[in-house]
Amino acid sequence: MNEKAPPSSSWPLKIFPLFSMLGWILVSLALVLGVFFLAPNAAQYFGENAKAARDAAENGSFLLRQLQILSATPRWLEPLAFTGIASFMIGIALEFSTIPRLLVQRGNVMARTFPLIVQAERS
Amino acid sequence: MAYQKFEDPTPPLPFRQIEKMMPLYPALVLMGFLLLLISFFIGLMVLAPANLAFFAEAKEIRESAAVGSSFVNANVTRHVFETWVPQFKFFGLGLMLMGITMALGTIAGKLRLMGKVIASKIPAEQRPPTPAIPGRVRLFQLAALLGIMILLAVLIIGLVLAAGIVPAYWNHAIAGQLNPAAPGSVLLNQAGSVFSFPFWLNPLRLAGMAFLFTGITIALTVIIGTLNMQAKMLAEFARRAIKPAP
Amino acid sequence: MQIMIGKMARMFPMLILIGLAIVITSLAIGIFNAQTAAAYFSESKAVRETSLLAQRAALESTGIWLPTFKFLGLGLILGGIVMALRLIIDRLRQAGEEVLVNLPPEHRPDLPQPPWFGLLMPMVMFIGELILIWSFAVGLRTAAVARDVFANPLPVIDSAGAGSPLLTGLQQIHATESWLVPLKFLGIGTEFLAIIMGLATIIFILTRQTAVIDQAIEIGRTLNQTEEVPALAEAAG
Repeated sequence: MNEKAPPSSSWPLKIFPLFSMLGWILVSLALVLGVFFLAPNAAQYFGENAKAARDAAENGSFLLRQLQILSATPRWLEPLAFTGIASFMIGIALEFSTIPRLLVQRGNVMARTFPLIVQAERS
Repeated sequence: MAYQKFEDPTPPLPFRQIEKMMPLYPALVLMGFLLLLISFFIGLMVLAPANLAFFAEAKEIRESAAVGSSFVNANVTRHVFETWVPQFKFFGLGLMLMGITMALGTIAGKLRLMGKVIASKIPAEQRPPTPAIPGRVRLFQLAALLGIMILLAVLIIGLVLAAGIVPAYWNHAIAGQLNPAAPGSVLLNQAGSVFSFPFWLNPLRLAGMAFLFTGITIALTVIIGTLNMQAKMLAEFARRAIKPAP
Repeated sequence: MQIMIGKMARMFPMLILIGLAIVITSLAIGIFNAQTAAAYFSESKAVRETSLLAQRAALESTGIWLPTFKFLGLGLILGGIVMALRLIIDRLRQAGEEVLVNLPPEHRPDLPQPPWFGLLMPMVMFIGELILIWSFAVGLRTAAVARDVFANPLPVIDSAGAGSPLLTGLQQIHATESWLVPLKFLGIGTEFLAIIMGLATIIFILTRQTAVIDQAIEIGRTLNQTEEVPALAEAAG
């Protein structure tokens, strides 16, 4: 009755958890870097230095290094976090992609079982 | 309801409330979409005019403008709205994702009901036992709840900042008061908070979204598991019905 | 029309792959952009604002168009999910039809027709994609304005007076960004709306199918008692 391989063993169902895990890793990385690295740096840079001092920072100074970090890091970290969100979506899409096949298989089983259920009353 | 006798026993709190809310998913989704529409119109009708007003003159003129001037007011408006509107927008997206999770939960429930109705047509001695509700159902409900709570907390933080420290800082002349602020002054301390909060608040709302996506992922595994199990149970019934056990 | 949409829905993995490729390209451009920013901000304010004009123009313009590109990628992935849902709806209906084939045609109960929101789902998904494509186009146009404005030294931009092309350009950039950012989210929200319409259609079909199958079993049993139904007898051996 059930000649095809069970859909539970199909490849999308095997790899979707990897995409969900990747999503969590990338979003967690953005959160950890944001909370423990970028936010304290920004608070220190803008909250402890007068504008005149920030503007006068010379090459190689600590202030310029902080500005470099605050300006450059979000430019890769934000797309990385969004790649994490996309990764969740891919995992979900993989799960959805297995459902049509499951429905076909369940429909076949239902169609073959229907007469037996109808007859079952007699027995 | 036609199939009331097939309903599962009422779960404990807070799942009882969640399950009661499940059929309300269209209302949640529409509310979320409405928040996104409101955000767009705020951008178009409040933020864009504020930006046009602020950037209407050369830097020297707009930055030397005194408190109460149209430039300082426009600057306060654009910063205040940019503080809470993004959080409001993400809360709207969160409501829509929660609606999707609830709709998936409803689908799992409908599949379970269909299985029970079909099983009820099979004679008791041949009827396969009804499987228990999978533990993952509670897990996806919790993940969705946690996700929306995080987004709500982010929205509240955004509103508190937008009502407090953000206007308190920006309601000053840029050249005359903000730029000369010395280390240790109230203004510079406020600057530290005003410029640093997006670095932790933005990833926090993504974490909220991640919980909601996890809820959807788990809800789908419940649906896939139910479909698989029902196919197996029917196949097993058919096998027994065709070749009765000796 | 609906048959054509049903056939197109089978191509959903392609939409998802294109979306994923766009998101990964955005990440690569973001990493490259971060290196430009690191080089730019390693110089003193006086040097970077008067000499490193190309870098500044690149940073400002990329910051405008890249997020719209990234959202287009996310939108395509969601569009793929909507198409997968359409396929699920078609398969669900076919499964119901397959079961009812066991009954003689004149005794088959009617299967539910897809509701209006199910028929509208591909249209809503398409509107969402159009919003995201339009956002990307506006992003590119605004990025071109930013490239022109920031090709000038910052002191020149700062001294530009009311009505000057430079200040008008700056106004245009900031005003456009005010509504462009929420517009992208509205595009994503429209895709979510299409997904929920698909899920609501599945719920609708499942609810009706449960009742139809229940009814079909009863019809089958009644027929079995009164007449011989070949399909039922043959299947039951």
